[in-house]
Amino acid sequence: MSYLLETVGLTRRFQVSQGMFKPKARLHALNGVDLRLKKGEVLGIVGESGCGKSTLAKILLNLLAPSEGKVLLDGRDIATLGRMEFTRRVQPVFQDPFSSLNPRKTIADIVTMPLRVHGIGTGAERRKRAASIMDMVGLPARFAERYPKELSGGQRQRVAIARALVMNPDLIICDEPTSALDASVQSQILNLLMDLKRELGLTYVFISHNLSVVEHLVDQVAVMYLGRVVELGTTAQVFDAPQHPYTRALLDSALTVAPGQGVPDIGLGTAFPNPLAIPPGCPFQPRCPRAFDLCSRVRPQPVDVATGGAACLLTQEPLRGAA
Amino acid sequence: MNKPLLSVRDLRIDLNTRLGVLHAVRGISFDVAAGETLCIVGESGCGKSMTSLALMDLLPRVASRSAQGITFDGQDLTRRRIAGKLRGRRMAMIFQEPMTALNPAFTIGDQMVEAYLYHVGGTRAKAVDRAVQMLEKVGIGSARSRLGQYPHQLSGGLRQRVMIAMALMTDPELLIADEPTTALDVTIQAQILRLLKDLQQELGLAIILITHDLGLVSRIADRIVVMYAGAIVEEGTAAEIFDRPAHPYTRALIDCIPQPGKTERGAPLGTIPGVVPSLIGRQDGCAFRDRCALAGPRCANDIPTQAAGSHRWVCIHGGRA
Repeated sequence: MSYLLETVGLTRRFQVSQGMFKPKARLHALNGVDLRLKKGEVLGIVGESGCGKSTLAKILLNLLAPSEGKVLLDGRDIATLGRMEFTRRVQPVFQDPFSSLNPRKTIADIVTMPLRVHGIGTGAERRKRAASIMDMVGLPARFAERYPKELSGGQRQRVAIARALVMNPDLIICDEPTSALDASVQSQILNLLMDLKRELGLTYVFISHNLSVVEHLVDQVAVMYLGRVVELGTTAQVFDAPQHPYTRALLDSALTVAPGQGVPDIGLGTAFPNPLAIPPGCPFQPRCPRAFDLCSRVRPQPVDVATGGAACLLTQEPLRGAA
Repeated sequence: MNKPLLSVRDLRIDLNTRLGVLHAVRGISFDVAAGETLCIVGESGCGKSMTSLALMDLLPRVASRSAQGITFDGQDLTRRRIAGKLRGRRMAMIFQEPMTALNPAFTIGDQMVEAYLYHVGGTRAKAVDRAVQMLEKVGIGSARSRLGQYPHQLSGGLRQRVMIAMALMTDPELLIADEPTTALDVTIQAQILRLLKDLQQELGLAIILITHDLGLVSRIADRIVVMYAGAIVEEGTAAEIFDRPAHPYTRALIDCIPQPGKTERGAPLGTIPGVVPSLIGRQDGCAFRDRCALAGPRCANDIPTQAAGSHRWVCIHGGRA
């Protein structure tokens, strides 16, 4: 089985200043991330701030090089692909449609920009292509000569999607595409993304902290914690039968509509994950309600990307190895 | 209901813009009883944040406020001298982004003590003791040493706890929280909301919580006010609003969010066609009618408020679906 996108042992370290005269600290933003994604599927990445999901997005977009490991697109290392070839096949949709569009360009300029960069078509052909893409994402043709400031947040996000689609890419990396939008606009954008996927056979990596949205949209989910994938599986596996205590805590803390049910006690304590001081053993152990003595000494095996599952000693029969 | 702690009648907020007068809040009325949680929910631009700022006299300069009456415990909040005594003492506010609401140049101890000395007075030592006590109450360990720390040394969740502790310094009866957990991770959000609910029980606090998050509202509200285009379109208990929403806007808004276990995975979500009407100038009839599936000619007339017990809505389609 071949995969459209595959990451092998992705690791990214940063040197972080601790203060003027203090030595720099090393921050592991990503630590050995293995992921696979088939064509036409949606991979969801969830986790809290500092878990490495934005670093992962940058590496997948070839905007940042990994310290170790590689990203394969159709089996080829993206570091060896030319910038042009890569951007033709992989495009982003970012969180904030207010800062991701050039305020001094018209919508038509913004949408045709990738075509101009790649030298595709004549001016008239580009405009025709832009018009058909704008129609596809639900932007009226009269918007072509308008500027981003004249558009609402939802319309701007449609422009960002149109710009991503104009090159007819295989893979779209969506980094929190609806977090800045109101609920009624979010549902429109999510419906649009689902329709486009069906019509064009697109593949998405969908990064979000909103678990209800991820559950609704994706086929596979990777749960990240402090730079590692701690659980990986199909949407049904991860959402219906979570194995990792962190996944369970995340699902419990998602405040779904449930009148009168109150806010659950997720039992995580007040310890805050610090990517600069990742604890020995299991990184989640200081907050884990089910931690036992081994957890502070033995690091769980990483999730096997072929089978999925959880990086947790509770599910990995640790006693056999330790005995 | 007993005499309400806070009572707002016909509150209007106007903003002067280049294009004309923008009516951000168009005559809303609501009450908050002692010890209850009232959630004001709506999308961007519906006037919910303006309402909270108006209660605390924090409106921007371009905004003007008028009301038939705003009273707190029977005292007239529209009179500046009275409001000055109540605000920050018996009414406190916490904001969305604790990093911008805290002053980065002062230690959290200084900031916590300042308001207390201003409103309550007494010695600094007493104020510091109170600060330690409040930090412990919001679950911050080794509180005394934290007082010397600066906001940037704390994580987002800790900063929001500090904000809550700071608001509680003067033992207020009403806490206004504007999107208090929107900037936080989900696990931290759950902890902060539980903390607020626990403190509410312990201290008998009334809370006005302003948010766009319907899931959050459904879980912590005693009563809910739904706002659209500067007006209240529906009001009721959490069960009334979520189990029997009467206004088409409330129903549409609930349908927009994916609900695990209820919404089929991958199925199309509900949407609301069109956009929010301009808030500049007069609005006759129902502001939602251009986007409403049930709209008819009568919707352009004045819409009377309909009621069933505590449940009230502003729609002629009487429509409990």
